[in-house]
Amino acid sequence: MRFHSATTLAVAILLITGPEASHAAQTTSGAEVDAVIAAMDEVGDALRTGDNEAFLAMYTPDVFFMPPDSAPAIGKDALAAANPLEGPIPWEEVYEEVMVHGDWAHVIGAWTVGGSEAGKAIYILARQGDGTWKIAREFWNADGSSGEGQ
Amino acid sequence: MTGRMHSIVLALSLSISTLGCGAGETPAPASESLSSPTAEENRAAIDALMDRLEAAYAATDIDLLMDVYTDDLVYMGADTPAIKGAADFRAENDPVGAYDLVMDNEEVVVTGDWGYARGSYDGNDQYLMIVRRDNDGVWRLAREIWNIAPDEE
Repeated sequence: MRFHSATTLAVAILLITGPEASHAAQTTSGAEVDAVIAAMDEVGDALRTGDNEAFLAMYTPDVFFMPPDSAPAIGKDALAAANPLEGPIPWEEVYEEVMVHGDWAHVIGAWTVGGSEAGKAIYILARQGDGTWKIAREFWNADGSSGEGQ
Repeated sequence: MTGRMHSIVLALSLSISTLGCGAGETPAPASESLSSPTAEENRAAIDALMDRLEAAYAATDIDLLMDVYTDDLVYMGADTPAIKGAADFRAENDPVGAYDLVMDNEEVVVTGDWGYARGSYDGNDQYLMIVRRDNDGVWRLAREIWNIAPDEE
């Protein structure tokens, strides 16, 4: 099973680590972080409802999507071809870290699918011209050998 | 499975801890007191960071390896739980197995004291790293995830 047959979130928890929070070059709270979390939530909603169009809409045209044991999907067309969302996925994800660095942000996620699979991910999001955020780089893998990866 | 994956996976038996554990010991990122480097200088610095990672494995030197990572590192290898914090990472990687690691940054983006590097290692396998310049001015790996990719046909 791969990510999309493995996805979506229910609860977004933001755990901010200490020293970085005061650094001017990045933001760990406030409206910008809220906007990043909102984008991540939209991805989660799309996965939970099995809405492939809404899912793909949250990625940049030049997305680099790297699941385990697979070739990377480079570009939205490749992502659409390689990772069709075929139905709702009982995806939950905790956002363990969300930081904004100017026009890009990173999110550390810990995900579960239906209570049977668990893993982690790093997302790089890019700020769009309208102020919204989309996922530009995504790497994810599982915590253990559970048949995940299709 | 690559040698690095072997060495890493075999070494892991982790407990998941809260991200940022031990954060009180984490050096703060370098601040605006440092002059702003150019994009080329940033790229060179992150490439050099990967060189240090390669050198640490080549030398099988745990101290060199630890100095490549931030104290609050989060290391996300495939098929194993994340390692969070320098103490756990050291415990899982000491002694360091000899490994002829070859890192190739294909994309580097830096903003202030944070950046990310995406690239391939050992040819086809893929990594994404969040890097941070600590207050000693040294860039280190703060978050790392990697995946094995199938061999190219």
